[in-house]
Amino acid sequence: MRLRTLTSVALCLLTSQAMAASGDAPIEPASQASIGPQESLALPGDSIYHLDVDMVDQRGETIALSVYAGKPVLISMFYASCPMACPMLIADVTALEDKLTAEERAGLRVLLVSLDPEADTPEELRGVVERHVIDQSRWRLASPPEPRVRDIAALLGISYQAIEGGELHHSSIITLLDSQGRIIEKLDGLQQSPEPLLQALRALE
Amino acid sequence: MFVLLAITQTLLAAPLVQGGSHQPFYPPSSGQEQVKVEAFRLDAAPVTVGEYRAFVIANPSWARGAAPPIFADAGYLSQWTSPTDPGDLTPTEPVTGVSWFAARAYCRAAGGDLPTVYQWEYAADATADAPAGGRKDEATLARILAWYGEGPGAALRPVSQGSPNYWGIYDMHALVWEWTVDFNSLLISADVREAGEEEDLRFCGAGALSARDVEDYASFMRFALRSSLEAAYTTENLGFRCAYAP
Repeated sequence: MRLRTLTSVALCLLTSQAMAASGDAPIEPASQASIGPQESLALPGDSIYHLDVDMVDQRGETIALSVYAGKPVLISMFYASCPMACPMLIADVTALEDKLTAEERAGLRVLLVSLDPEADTPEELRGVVERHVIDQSRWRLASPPEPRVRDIAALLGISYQAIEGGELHHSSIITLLDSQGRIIEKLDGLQQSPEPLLQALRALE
Repeated sequence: MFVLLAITQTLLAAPLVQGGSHQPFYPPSSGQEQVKVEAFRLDAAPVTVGEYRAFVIANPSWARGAAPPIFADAGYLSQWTSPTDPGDLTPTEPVTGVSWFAARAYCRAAGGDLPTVYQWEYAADATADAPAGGRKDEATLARILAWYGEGPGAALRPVSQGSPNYWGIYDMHALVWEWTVDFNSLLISADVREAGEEEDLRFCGAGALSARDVEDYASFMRFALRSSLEAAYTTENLGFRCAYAP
C-alpha cells in the first residue's frame, strides 16, 4: 500500500499544475486521426476503435480491433502459453457469460488480444479455443503486430512486462465496450464479482 | 538526399549508447537482478517545441483538436495559442503537454520509438565521465532531488544547456519528466500468483516488489510517477525523447 500512496503523491506533483492550467480549457471537437480511425464509422472521441490495427485471429483471418463494432464486447489480453492467469481469465469470462440469458449472450462478443503475437500464431490460438471449448461464432482470439500490442494494452490500462523464461507479468482486466468501442466498465483483477459489469451490460440494452 | 540528410541529423542528434548490464530499480522478478540492455541510440535532448510543431504540421491528425480524446486528453498542447502556434513557448524548450500516444507517434514518424524504461534508466545512470554510477552519486542525487522539490510552475529552459553525460546526452534529469514506451510495465505480480491467495492482490503484488536501493529516492519517484500515468494523460512537466536502433 505504501507504493500506492506514494504513487498518488507523485501524481499530485505532476498534475497539479496541469489541472490549474487546463481546467477551463475548452474541450475541442474530436475529428479523425490518421493513425487510428476506421473511416467508415463516425466514432465518438473516446472510442478505442480509433486505433487502426490489423490482427490475425484463430482462423487466420485478418481483423480490425473494431471487428465487433455494433455490438457490446468484452475485451481483454492474454497469451496462449500463459500457465495460470490466462486460463483463469478465460474461465472468468465464461463464468460471466454463464450468468447471462441466452438472448443476452447472443448479443455479446468476446475479443481476446494476444500479448505475445510472435508465439501466438493462428494454430496456437486455435489450441486455446479447443482447450477451453470456446464459441467461435462470438469469440475471437487475435494477435496484433508486435509494436501495436502496447498501444492496445495502453488503451485498456493493461500493464505487462516480459520476464526471463518467456513468461509475461500482466494485469488481467476485462473491459466492457459499448457498440461504438467506448469503455463502459472494467473488472480489474481475476475472480472479481462480475455484477458491476453485468449491470453495465444490461443498462446498454 | 533529403533522407540521407535526415539520417545524418538523427545520428548526430542521437548518440550511441553502448550496450551493457543494468540493475533495474525494480527487478523484473525475484532472482533476476540484472537485465541486458542492447546498444541503442537516444536523442541527445528532449524533443523541443519547435520539433514537435514541425511534426504537427506534417501530421495534421496530431494537431490539437484533431487527435481524438482517447489518444490525448483535454490538456494536449493546451499552452499553444493555436493548433500549430506554440505562442509564447520558445522553440528550443522541451515540448510538454503531450500524451504517450502522441509522443510515440512522433518517435515512430522519426524512425524510432520511445525508449524503454530500462533504456531510459540505463542512459540516465551515466555521469559526466562514466557510463554508470549516477544513482550512487550523492551530488547527482542531490541535484535531482532539488529539482523534484521545486515542483511545477517555473518556465522551462532550452534543452542542451550545461554539460552532457558520458554518452553525450543532455537533460536526463532536472528539466522535464519523460515518457517511456513501457511506462505501464511495472506490475505487480498479482496475476501470476497462485490461485486463491488473499484479497487486494494488485497492491499486494506491488508492495511485494522490492526496490533495489531504498536510498535511491530519485529512481523511486520516477517509477512511482510512471505507474501513476495513463497513456492519454498530458501534463505540463512531462515530455519525451526518442530511441532508435543502433
